[in-house]
Amino acid sequence: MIIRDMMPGFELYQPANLKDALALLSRFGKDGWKLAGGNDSLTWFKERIKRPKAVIDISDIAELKGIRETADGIEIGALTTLTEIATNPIIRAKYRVLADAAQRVASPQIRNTGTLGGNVSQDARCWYYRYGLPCYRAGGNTCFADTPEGMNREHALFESDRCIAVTPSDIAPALVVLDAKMVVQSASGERVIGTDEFFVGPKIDITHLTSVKPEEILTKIRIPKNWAGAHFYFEKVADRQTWDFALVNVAAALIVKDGVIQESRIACGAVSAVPRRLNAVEDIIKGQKLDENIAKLAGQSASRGARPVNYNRFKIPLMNNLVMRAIRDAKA
Amino acid sequence: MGAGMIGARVQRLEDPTLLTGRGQYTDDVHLPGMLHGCFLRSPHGHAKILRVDTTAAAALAGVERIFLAADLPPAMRARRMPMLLPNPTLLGHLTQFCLATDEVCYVGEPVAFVVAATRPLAEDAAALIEVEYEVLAAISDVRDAVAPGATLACSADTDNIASVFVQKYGDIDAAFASAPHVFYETLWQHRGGGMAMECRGVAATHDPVSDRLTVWSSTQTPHLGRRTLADFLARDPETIRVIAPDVGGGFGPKAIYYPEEAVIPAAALALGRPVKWIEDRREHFLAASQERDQLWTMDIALDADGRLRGVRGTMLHDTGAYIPWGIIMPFIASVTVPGPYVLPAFHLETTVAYTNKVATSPVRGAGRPPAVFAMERLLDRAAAELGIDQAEIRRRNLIAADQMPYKVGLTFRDGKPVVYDSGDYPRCHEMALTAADWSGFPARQAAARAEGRYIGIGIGNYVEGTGLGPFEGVTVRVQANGKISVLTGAAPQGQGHKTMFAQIVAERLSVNLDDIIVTVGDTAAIANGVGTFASRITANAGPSASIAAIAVRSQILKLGAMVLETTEDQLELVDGQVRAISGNRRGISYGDLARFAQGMPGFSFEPGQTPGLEQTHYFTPPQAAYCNGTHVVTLEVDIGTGGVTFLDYVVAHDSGTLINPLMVDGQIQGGVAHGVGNALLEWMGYDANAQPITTSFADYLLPMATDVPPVRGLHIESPSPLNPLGVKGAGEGGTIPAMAAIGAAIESALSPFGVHVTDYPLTPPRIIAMLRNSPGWRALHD
Repeated sequence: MIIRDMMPGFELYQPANLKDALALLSRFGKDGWKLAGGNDSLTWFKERIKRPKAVIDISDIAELKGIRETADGIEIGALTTLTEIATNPIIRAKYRVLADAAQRVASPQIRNTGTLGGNVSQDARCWYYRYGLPCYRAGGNTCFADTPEGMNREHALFESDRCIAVTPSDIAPALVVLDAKMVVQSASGERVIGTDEFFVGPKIDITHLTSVKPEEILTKIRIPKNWAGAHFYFEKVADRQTWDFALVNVAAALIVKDGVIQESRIACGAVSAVPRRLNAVEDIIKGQKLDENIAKLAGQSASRGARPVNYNRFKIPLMNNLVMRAIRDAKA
Repeated sequence: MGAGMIGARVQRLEDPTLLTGRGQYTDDVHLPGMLHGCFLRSPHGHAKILRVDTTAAAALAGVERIFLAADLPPAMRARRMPMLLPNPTLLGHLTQFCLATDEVCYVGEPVAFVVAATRPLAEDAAALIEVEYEVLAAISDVRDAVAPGATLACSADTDNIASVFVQKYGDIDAAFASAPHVFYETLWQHRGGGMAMECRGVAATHDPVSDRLTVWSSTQTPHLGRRTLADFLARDPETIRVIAPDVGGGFGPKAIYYPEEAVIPAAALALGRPVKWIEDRREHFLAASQERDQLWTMDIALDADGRLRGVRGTMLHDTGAYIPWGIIMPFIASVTVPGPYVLPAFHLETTVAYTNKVATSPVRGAGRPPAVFAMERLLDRAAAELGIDQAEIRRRNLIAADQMPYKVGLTFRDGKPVVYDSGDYPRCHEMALTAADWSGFPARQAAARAEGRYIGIGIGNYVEGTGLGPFEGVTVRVQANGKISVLTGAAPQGQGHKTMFAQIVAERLSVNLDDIIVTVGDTAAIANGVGTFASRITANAGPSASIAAIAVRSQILKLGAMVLETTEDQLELVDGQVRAISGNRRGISYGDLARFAQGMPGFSFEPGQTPGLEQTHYFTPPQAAYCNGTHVVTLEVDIGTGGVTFLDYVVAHDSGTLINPLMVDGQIQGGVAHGVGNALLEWMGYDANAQPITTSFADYLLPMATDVPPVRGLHIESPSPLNPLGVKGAGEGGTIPAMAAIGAAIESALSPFGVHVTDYPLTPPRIIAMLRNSPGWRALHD
């Protein structure tokens, strides 16, 4: 067993604008690595498991930073820190579920350096994969977690396919319930996609959690105004009060009129490879009076179809409870 | 000045340096020409080494040398690591080799040491070493290790038993035969590692001019390290200096002597260049000792009124692949069970077995937390079955103050009978209960339940043998510049030794704290030393400092009387000066006296005059000093998520006379943090092949600041009669009963669902799993 503690060498590029960054990314293709806050990247490098030839540090690109109100909602640069999102007055006032989710990510130090783009682009937190074992996600042909003795407490309840890792992001479910649009750019153009296209499961690409290609950068995220001021809820359950990834998290947005649920979006993280939007729950509560009973009923159906592995069965009641609370306790 | 220093809430003298990043740790040792090392370790829980090929690795530019076992000095390759704490019950192979020769018995056992110009190069080279292993069956679970026909953890042995011993007193059969009530519990207890912020590290350099070998090591025991290293290298110990510089936490695992502490100096000698090795965190998970699993099967016998008649049972301890600290930890566990209670009869058979995991050695609490958990769980069970309040059943059984000194009937690890030297256990217990408003809790709990909230309360009582000998020495010396040097081998890892010594010496010599310069953890400072573990330094080195300082005070008075031409009874010591009480003479500073005490070259001393103002004293305590305490924990469990939130954490604590109450408060708060980690989070997992599966802080969970409640600490001071300061150890009492108290509080909170706590850590998934056994909870939530 080789003890790995020191980064191997690489070429470091620090482009000052997006154009230069995109040129570098198309030049290096698969050999390039985008570095923003560094919270995910540096660990990979220190562990010597990912060894890119060139690292393109995009953290100084001003055009990727900041929060702007637009005619259609808001636009958040991908390099905006989680602390800025958590404390931004517009987000707090109109899209609170996103601020609450940002506030529950990791620790204050990580939120100060961690970016919005980095949070939704981070790689799977399956510790077998992180340890450098040759699993499906690493290009191998086995899953170490999906075995009778595998450590799979944190793993997926839904839609796993060979790999059973989950999305680790707290931000992702909040973006799902806000119908966020992701702006992805490359030297040859821009595409604007929904979260359902941005986050990908193992059936589509087993080695990546997003559809962003090596030559592309997630530049900004747009939040449309149709959910502004809705009733919101976010809760994250983790082993500790801070720092940990979610065992399960939930985000909800409800439009309630005269005590009746007009429209809703509910999503859970850490239960499948992508943030799981609970369409069935949304259908159940649509047009219903918002009370404890409907919340309970919806909660009971939240985990329908779950296929737990050995050690993650606890996530089923956890998910049901969180969804129940999300509906019951969502506040304007 | 100086008066009133003992007992004062003095801010730690260490902190400005440590908190502003100016600490000097082993990794801060940078020497010209220094080389950097990296270990290649076994990837298998158990395997034969068939072949090692270092050709490709050695050919890499920048690689200086690759050491295999055969390349080490004769004593290091010929024999296993020394057994530093022998015991007649010990069986089997006991310890490991510095570098494995033909067999590896745990994942992480060192096989080769690569030395290169830089650490990244050393890591590159280690990846190029080819080792051919024949993988053997490995033992992961200690319960399998003792099964008939079990696979052998080490092929040198005939079975996996490392030790079997019995602790007993009283007539246990009679106690159970006629008992009105008998209850039993099976408890599976898990503790992780010490997880100091600084991992281990060793740097070594040899000066060929003086033939002096200097070693810096992040250790709790520098003198022990020097002795062992001298044997391994067949060198005169006087040519070896071991320094424990600033050490970022010890907590037990840094007390034992590790192979790395011999291999790095051997490499520095062989290469004639300074060599440094700094342990990575993953490496720490693999290769630094832990405390690990114990299986307790316990019976309790009680009278009709809840008074104890006897406790009996068995305990199975997983020592890992080796047993470097002997049976100390399971032994301490076995004698801690009776605790603060009048227990007429006791019988515990302990079996220690080898598995294919890294070795165990004490972690803060040193086997006591599981023992306290066992006893307190038995009492809670009995209270529940008999319908007696948990506090009341304890009241009926606590040793009364007038029973002190109290002879338990057991022999402690120091070979002396367990005799509790002082304390008022009932008073301590009541103090904690009152502070936590124990009697008002049922009403609070009922009110919370009415709101759908689940709150619980739990008690943990303990007695801890602290301040173990044999000795720890201190030299006090007045320098010619008036400063007082205090020198000791006692190496701190953040406890605040310097502040403690300075307070004692300042009080005895009537000087300011700033006039005292304390040197710790250096074998060049003092000839003999033992080390910092077992909450022993204030109780061993504290009295040494006091006695040495009192002797120096006498020297100052005697010489002062001679110089000032008066008698000692006419003198007073004020602020570093000797002066006549009458005020009719000039005073003389300690510094000038110290110069005077050196004499003049060629001139004889006056009759009665002695050289220098200095004294070295090695205090040796007659036996362990027993501290005690009570934890009362109030917490809330979220039954929807399994999350635990602390509402109140009270610790009433008696560690004898307090030298510095502020530092004791810190010890208790930090100790509770360790206890919270053990109770709720920390789990070191191994798979069926003994492959460790929690080797980063992402999956081995330590409590964060947000997970540890602020502790309300209450002090009682029952001076120990065993040392002139009346002090006892205070380093572990914050941890010892925490699992018991937290486990009881969770059980109390979840009592509507019939949850029974018999293990830890109690993580949210574990709590949900326990709740799932309750039909009532499933009806609500599943």
